[in-house]
Amino acid sequence: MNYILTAEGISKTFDDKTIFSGLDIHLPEGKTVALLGPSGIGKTTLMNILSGVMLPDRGKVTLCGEDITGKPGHISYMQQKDLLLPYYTVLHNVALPLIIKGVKKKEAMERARQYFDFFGLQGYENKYPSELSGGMRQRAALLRTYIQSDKVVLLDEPFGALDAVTRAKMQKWYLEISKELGLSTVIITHDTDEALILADKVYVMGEGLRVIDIENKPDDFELTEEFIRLKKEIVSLL
Amino acid sequence: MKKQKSITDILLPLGVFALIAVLWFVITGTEVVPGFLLPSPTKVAIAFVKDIPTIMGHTGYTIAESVIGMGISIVIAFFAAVIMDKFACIKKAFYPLLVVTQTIPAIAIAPILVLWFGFGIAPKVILIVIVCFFPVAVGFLDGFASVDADEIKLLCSMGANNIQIFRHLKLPRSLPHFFAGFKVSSSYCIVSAVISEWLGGTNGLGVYLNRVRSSYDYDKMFAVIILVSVLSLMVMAVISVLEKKLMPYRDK
Ligand SMILES: Nc1ncnc2c1ncn2[C@@H]1O[C@H](COP(=O)(O)OP(=O)(O)O)[C@@H](O)[C@H]1O
Ligand SMILES: [Mg+2]
Repeated sequence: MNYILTAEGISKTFDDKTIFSGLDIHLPEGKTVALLGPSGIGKTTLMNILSGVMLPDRGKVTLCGEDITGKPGHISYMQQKDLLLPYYTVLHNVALPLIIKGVKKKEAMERARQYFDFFGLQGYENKYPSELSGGMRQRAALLRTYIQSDKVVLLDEPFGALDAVTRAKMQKWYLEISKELGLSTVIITHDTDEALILADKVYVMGEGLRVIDIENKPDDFELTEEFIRLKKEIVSLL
Repeated sequence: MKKQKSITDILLPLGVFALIAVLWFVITGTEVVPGFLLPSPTKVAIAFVKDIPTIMGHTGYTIAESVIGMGISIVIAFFAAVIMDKFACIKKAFYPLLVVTQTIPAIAIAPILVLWFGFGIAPKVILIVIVCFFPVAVGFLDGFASVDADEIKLLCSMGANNIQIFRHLKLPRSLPHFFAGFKVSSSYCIVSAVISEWLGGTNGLGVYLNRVRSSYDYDKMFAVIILVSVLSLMVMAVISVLEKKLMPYRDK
């Protein structure tokens, strides 16, 4: 298997509290991997380490074979909050990763503008984040994440704050665009259904780490018996 | 968040001002108070119009001092805040000193400043800086500190350096706090300039006030007192316009 992102032997301790030790994560290219677990188990901490904004005590993160442990800027990271900056327009927010990389503001905004249609954000370019609904804000944050890196995206409970209807829509939408754009995604969730719907592989963080592979998902996977079976299995692991 | 002012919000304070004006007319009209102690509004207006060239000359001088003083305050406050934000130990060491400067009565140090720096513009500008620096510096400091740790993490994950974090997070986040401090400062600014001129100078509204007081021209005095508050109000209005221009997102 060809892995675009791997984390091997990751250990992290805060003060005296060991969050995890010797953790391995493998993300195949073009696939989605879910990290599932109750809150406080260390999912966000693991994301911080994968993204490079936090150093692990031990272990190595590699992107396409290159060591990026503790080196941010290579893969994009959407945190639990959308963190759209209230003083920039949606277009400016979305173009920010390019501006940080040194692209001139005007050109960065032109480049970012081209994706607005695809992300269902057309017409919102010059609005401020406070004028957007929850779902729209999430789309904008996702587009910013995609523009930051079109290789690997890390999503920390991206749909957690949305209402059930909007969340279901966004999950469907994300499945489509991630396939179309060929994204490799690590997504955090504490929702078993969401993990099963979105992921090709689920890491269940409970007592230790367990891996569940989901291969050849049929359409309307969430209505099949296989889905129920996997759900039961995951619940028993948590 | 949109903040709409209702009509009563505007009418009520206007009514109070109008009431004071009427009272003033009535009191002076009925001569309950002798005319030389409290001149009537018409007399004050006439005194103002008659002396306009002189008053305007002094006004220009006072405004110039205020603008220079305020400008210097902002520049110093900005750099002081940046340094204190960067080095926590410097903040710990100097913050109490800043607070102490706020407890010094401006009126008491103005003559000392005149003694040290003469009758020119220097002691006025220095007094304005002493008075205005603090609210602006605290505004910047609070603003820099208001940046969310997750926002910094976001910019870091994009590979941003410290200057970019400052440019895209700290600076814009500090603007509302800066303006809050700037408004407070600006309301002290003109008054500080006038006090400072009063206590020793050759030009400015304070000097003019002192002169007309010596010659018992109370109508002129009242005219300038009103002018000083109008100037302060105008400064605040200019700042409000600036605030709207720089932070258009706040009205959304
Ligand atoms: N910077 C930190 N310093 C100390 N403890 C932390 C820090 N970040 C997270 N933790 C602790 O690590 C544990 C895991 O947190 P987190 O990764 O946010 O969990 P999750 O995202 O799964 O809800 C929590 O108990 C939290 O209190
Ligand atoms: Mg979390």
